[in-house]
Amino acid sequence: MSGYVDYESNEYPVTLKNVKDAPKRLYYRGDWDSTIFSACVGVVGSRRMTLYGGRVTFKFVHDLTCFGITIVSGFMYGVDTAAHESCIQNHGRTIAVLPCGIDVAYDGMRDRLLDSILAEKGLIISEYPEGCAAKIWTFHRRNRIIAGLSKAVLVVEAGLDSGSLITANFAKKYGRTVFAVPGSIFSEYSKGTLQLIHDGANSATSPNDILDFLDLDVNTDSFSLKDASSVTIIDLISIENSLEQQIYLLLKKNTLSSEELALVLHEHIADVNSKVTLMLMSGLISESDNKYFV
Amino acid sequence: MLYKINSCASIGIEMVNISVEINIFSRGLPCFNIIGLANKSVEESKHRVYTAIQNSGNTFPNKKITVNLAPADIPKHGSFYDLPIAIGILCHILNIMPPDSALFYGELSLDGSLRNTKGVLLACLYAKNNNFRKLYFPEASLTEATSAGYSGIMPVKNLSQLVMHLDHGERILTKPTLNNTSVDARSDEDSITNIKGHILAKRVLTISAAGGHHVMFVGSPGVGKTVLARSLNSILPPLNQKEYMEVAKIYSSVGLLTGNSARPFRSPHHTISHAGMLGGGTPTVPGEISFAHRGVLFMDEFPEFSRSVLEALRQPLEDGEICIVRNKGMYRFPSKFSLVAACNPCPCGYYGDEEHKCICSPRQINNYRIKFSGPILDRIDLYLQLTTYNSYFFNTSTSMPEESLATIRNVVTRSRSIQCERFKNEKILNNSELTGALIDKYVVLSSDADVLLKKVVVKLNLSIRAFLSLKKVARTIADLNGSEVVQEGHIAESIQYRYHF
Repeated sequence: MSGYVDYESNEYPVTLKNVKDAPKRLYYRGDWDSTIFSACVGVVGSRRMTLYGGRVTFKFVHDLTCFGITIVSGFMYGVDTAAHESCIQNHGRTIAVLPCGIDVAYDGMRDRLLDSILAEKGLIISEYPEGCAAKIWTFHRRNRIIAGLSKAVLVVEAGLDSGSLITANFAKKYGRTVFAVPGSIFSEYSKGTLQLIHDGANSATSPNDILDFLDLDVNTDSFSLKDASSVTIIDLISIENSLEQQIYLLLKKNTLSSEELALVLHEHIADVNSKVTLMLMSGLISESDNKYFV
Repeated sequence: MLYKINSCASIGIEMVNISVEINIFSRGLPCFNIIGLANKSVEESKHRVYTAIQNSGNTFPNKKITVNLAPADIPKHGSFYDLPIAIGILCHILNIMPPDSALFYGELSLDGSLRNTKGVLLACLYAKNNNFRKLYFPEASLTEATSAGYSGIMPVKNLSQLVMHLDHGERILTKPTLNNTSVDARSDEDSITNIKGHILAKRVLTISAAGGHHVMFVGSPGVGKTVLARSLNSILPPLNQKEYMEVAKIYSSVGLLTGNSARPFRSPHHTISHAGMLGGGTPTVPGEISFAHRGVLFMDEFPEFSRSVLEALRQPLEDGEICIVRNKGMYRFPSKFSLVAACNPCPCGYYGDEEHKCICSPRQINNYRIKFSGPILDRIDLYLQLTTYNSYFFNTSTSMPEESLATIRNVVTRSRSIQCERFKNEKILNNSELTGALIDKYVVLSSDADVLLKKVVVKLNLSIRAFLSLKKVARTIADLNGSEVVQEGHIAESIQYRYHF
């Protein structure tokens, strides 16, 4: 299903209407349901997401969608894609704002993501008519819609000259609250977010920071439930052999590769590798980019 | 007067008999011609022969001399026809008959002495296998000749000595030389224990050395891929006598035999041509894959090699030999090597590196990786992503005891001998060569290992290729631990080294 909504229409999202240079017309794909715009949070970040960025995105988006918040992002590689994907995994609604016509696929690889966004009652929107190709400046303009639609914008990871900072600037201009996730001072992809925090953006260290700001009725039950399950995991582990337990406790504090685990624990790499795989298979720990975490 | 002298010529790394016929005619204008598809190096032989004979105190016959190199349809190249030609002419000068059942092989210098000639080892083996009583060759190549174990070697210093021997029966002494093949020639310079940290990579190299598995290292520039690859040689067992002869034949054919028993390490540059890699050219010589036979072929910047070179590696990786067909004939060169491939994660080299910014677009990264996808990856069992060493861990690692070189070597040698014993009735030597039915036969899983493997296949969505690789690697890990049955822990460890980029 596709169509368009004009600025004058009652259907036009109110949040975006307030913006001075709001698009005159929004083209869309999916089921247009105005409630989707009632609580939007923009999640943006670097195209070259690091492991850390991936974990942050997953955690924040997961918790936000639990409270029915719509995730708005730009359908780019990296953090954008991760935000859409995490939202869909959690059966939340997400809006992808394209820098081109809604029928233009500027990367065939992600047709599947597009379909699953629509399947979860999300929206694909754009201010450009069908058939309009993406240009460098349309990416820039697209960012103002993300900022305009959102009540708050979360910048997960950003380099110093990245598009995410443009989105954050739009958000500031429109009076939206900007949240930035602090990262390592050594990471290239956290320099932008640290700069934002330095310049007065809110630092987001937990999804609750955003939930508190949105003043949602936080249902604590779901969290306590999660904690309870992790307790049983520790119990489960403590009856297993001690190497597994040591690994688990280390990974609870840090994200480490198997090599680093072996060095810290002074164990033979073969034993660590073998244990780590078994723990991975039983779901005690997760892996991404050869690094393990709980 | 017609003289027939036996010599031999190499076709690839095999020798064929060449009969050098020298006819000296008293009538006709004095001249000196060589026929029988001789190329420039053979053609120039007449000047060397003429001068050498004159300089050895003999008078070159001023007659019509025709030299025929038979069979006349094989192209001749190389300088080793000097000696047989000179012998034919000397026989005429001295009025003697050439010795029976003797081969002559060697290049002459203008002063009449004999120079080190390539292919002497091959000539010795040829003489041995075809029951020639004697082989006359340059003394400078004596070390090379002794390793063939042929009793009829006749190392010759110069033509005068040979004249004394043939004419006056003076004996040619064969000095016993030190046979280097028994000495452990593995240098400690590139020793694996000289590398600090990188324990994961060292483990992978140990598994590779034990089971002969091919390895791929992926990592940012400067992370240590090259140093690690070089260190593989230090833990591989030295060549045994059979392997040494195989390697020596290849190196002798191009005159590069050094006589030590260290395994070859070859690292061709990525701009190498098809013929340079596989063998070819005129005359057809072995390529890098054959020079790496029984050793290590290190391909740095793997995706930068030309597509045709990479794809052409498939057959040698599978069969352990390369068959080169040219219009001059078919050449077979052995090429059983351990491949160590190294590449960056992306064109700029910093993808996934937290401290450097990657400047590649996703498309560029895709295009880069497409290069090493497909069948070539089937044949590589061990993959490892190397990461920049965090200084924090670098410091802790110093306090961690590491395995000594001797320990690693012992463990590798032990698991190699286990494999030797296991495969004594098969054509293969090590676990990496296992295929289909043999995997089922020799990779016996314990029941919990089987359960884990099945779970892993579903959970990680493994292909058949990855599945088989896992089993082979797990077999080697079990061998390293001296375990007959592959246990759960062995499978679990092997999963760490699968292809997952």
